Amino acid sequence: MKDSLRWSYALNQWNVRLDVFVRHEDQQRALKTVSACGFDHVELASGTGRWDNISRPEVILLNHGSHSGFLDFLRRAEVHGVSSMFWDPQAPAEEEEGYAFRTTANPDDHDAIVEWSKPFVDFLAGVGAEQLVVRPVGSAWMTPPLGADGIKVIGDVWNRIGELTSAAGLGLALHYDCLGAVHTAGELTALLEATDPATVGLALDTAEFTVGGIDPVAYYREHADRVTHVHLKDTRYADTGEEYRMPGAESTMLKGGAGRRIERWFYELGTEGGLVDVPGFVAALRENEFGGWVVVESDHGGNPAELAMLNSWYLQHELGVPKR
Amino acid sequence: MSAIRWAYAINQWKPQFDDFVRREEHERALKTISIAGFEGVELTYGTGRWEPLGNPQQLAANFGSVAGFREFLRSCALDGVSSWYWDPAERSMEHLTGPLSPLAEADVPAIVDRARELATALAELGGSVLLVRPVPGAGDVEPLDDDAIGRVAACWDAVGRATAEHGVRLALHVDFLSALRRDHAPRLIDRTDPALVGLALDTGELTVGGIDPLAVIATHGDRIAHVQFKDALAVDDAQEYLQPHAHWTVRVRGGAREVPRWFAEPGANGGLVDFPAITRALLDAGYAGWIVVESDQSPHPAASALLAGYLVQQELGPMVHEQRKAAV
Amino acid sequence: MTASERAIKWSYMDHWRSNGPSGPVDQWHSHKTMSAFLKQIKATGFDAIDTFDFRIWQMYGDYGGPAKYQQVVQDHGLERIVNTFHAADYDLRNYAPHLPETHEFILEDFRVTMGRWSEIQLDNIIVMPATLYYDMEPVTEDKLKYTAECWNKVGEITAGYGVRLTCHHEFFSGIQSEADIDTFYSYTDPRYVSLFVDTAQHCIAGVDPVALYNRHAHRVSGFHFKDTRNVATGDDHRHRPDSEIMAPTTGKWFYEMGTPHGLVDFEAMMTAVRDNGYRGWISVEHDKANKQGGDYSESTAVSRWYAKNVLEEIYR
Repeated sequence: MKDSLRWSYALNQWNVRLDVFVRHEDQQRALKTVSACGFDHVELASGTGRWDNISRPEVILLNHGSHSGFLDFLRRAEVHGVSSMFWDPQAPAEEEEGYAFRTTANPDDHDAIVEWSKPFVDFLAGVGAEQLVVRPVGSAWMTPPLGADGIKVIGDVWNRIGELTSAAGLGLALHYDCLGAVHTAGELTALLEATDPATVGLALDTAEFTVGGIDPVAYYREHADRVTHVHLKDTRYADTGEEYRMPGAESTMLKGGAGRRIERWFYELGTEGGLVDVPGFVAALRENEFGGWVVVESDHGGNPAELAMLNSWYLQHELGVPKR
Repeated sequence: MSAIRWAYAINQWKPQFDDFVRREEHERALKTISIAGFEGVELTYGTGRWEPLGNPQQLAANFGSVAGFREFLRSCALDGVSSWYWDPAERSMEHLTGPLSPLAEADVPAIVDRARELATALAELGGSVLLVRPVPGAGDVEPLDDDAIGRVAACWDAVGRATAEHGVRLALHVDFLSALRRDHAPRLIDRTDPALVGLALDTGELTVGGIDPLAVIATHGDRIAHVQFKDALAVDDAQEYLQPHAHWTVRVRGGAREVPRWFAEPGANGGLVDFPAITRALLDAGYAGWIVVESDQSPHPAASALLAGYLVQQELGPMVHEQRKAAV
Repeated sequence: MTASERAIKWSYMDHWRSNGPSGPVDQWHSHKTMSAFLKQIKATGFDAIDTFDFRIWQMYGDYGGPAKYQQVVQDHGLERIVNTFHAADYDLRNYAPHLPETHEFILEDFRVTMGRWSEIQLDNIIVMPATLYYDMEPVTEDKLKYTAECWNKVGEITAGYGVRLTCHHEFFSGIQSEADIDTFYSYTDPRYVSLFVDTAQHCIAGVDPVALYNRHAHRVSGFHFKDTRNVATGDDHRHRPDSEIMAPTTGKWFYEMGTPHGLVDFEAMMTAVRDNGYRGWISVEHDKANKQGGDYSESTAVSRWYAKNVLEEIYR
């Protein structure tokens, strides 16, 4: 995309099950699709094990030999780099002490989580990416409500990791999601206040905000100085206010329809009945001369190539972004 | 004593004209139907070389002969074909004919001939029922007056007579778009010869049409010659079936509400049909014959067949079995 | 660079499926599926679309006719409808170009068809110029001559509407071998009958599409760029009742260009297009891309990627 904003596309939507999106030719087809849609950078999302070979830093390097080997792989499809990578330290991974379950809410886990972040920092620096995008805290249904002290504890570990990313020339962006234990606008602001603005920013995901009940445009306008990364996607539904607390909300709410037969929460830009004011949000980014990456995604929920192409059409024809 | 036999309809496997053409796809579908617990398959009429299971000529072109197809069915562990669905308004590339109408007296001889052809093949395939669309859609014809009903009745009596020669029953299949949907169906049925013409009870079509299948069993139980079990996910309560081209705009596209799917396999999430109650009513009415389970269309045909098979094996089949035991 | 400065523009041939709630649907399913289709085509950088003659019923039924449908195409940023493919029901009883007694029926079909299209300006109407191979064999000189006579007359009718009649040689059609194609064009009138090169179909038939194009370049009025991984063997081209989907050797003949293990040398093809000074439209086709787990959206993106990053480097 030829624009003052920098656009990237998230690959997570292709990796919908553990045994898909493993063969290099499938990945090449996805990368060519992204490229044909006008995007020349991608965001990766972490995973675990030998089948997450475009997700887990160590496994990527095993597949491609080196950082430059991986970049060559991307460039074969005319994708020129990695904008960012998403990591959730709460998600158990084989590479992280054999699927150890740790959480940023527990100070005893902090040393380990800081250690776990290092492969990501090294990998992102090695491939010339800019942002480590992280899930700051686990799901709300799994933990008792966080008080002010709890939020501060979480801030502490991200400040420590922020020092590592900063030293490596990377940004660290905390990605709010609709299930997280940091749920309200107030809690999110408290988390930002508990972190160092010099090293820790916010990844604002328009759809996650909307499902979670936070207006992404208003929040961005108030906190533009802290927003360092954007995920642009749409949704047709908002949480009724309590659904994120459903036990197993990842399944029962996001995949199980929340008891109201919602088949899919996240949608491509321009979807009928979309709740996100995408033009308003992008206009606000432009007014503030947002300098970070704007990563377009549609998450899991449809045919990935079709969604990438519809997103591209929306950028070109509704937002007026020339492809090249 | 009840003699209910369970079959599954093949139609859900062919969403588009270039799908489900190759032999290995047929084989996989038929084996799926078999292992799901069904003993027969219901075919749907089709024409041209991408409809290998669509008519007797294509069966012969693909399997050497109609009997060759029966061998193929047996190799998939299915006993045979239960029934064949045919809408005379479908053209025939094999006969170079366009739509035929039971309302046009001039078309009746061709309709009878064609039905005889299908019945001949059906008999060879172990089948016993030819289902037909008795009249066009409500939005595509003038309202049926008494004279029209009389012509249609005469047509199907003649067809029923022809198929009976091959031991095949004729069953009128009233779908939710049919010009017979409301009060016409009883009027037509009452005008036809009970020895020659029966009714096909399609639970899904009736329910979408706002008609309670239990009420049809209550009033016309003795005329039911065939049963199709499919579920309904929505009701056409806005009478959209009266629109022209409703087959496309309402049935395929879902009408003004854009209903994503009208039909599904029995027991589907959100299904409106009470299959145990209907099975009970059929047994009480002394129904004997095929119950063909279908989903009409499905995003996952094999899954639909297996889920329906589970329902039949675990719930509906045992009801039939119990009644049979009680009768002995 | 704007489209008007380019020597080559890219059109997308109509085959398309997406996943609907009850199984696969085509883009004509609803206005929404049509819009999603056109957006995807445009997003990847196609300039226009091609279509089938049998779609005209949906154009009339759903959009009010070809002109109004073309307006919908244009509302999505695409230029127009470039070509239509006339998919006829060949039948030895009434519609077989090698049987002169059926010619009047064929001519009447085209008089009616061209009238239906007359509210928009097409470049080509594309035909398979012969029946299925097994309905024409043995392919004799006389049969080729009768066939040529038929299309000369049809071409005269279409020329009256400013549309070129152009022939597309399916590997399973009666005219698919190099020798028969050459003979056929020797009997047809260059004013009325053109050649439409389908890279995959020729390759499957064992004919080098680049050499064929070079030999007939002055007669060529368009291309289907698609790939294949298989050459027809044995009776593949004359398999009864169907070769296109039912050939026992091959479940899927066609792949998008840029596919691994493709047999078409597209770089040589594009070089030939350049060297012959061709200017105009190249149509991209992925016939039955959704077979065996394929996906139309992805095939479309991958093929347009290939056009942009490989072929446009040779000639644009």
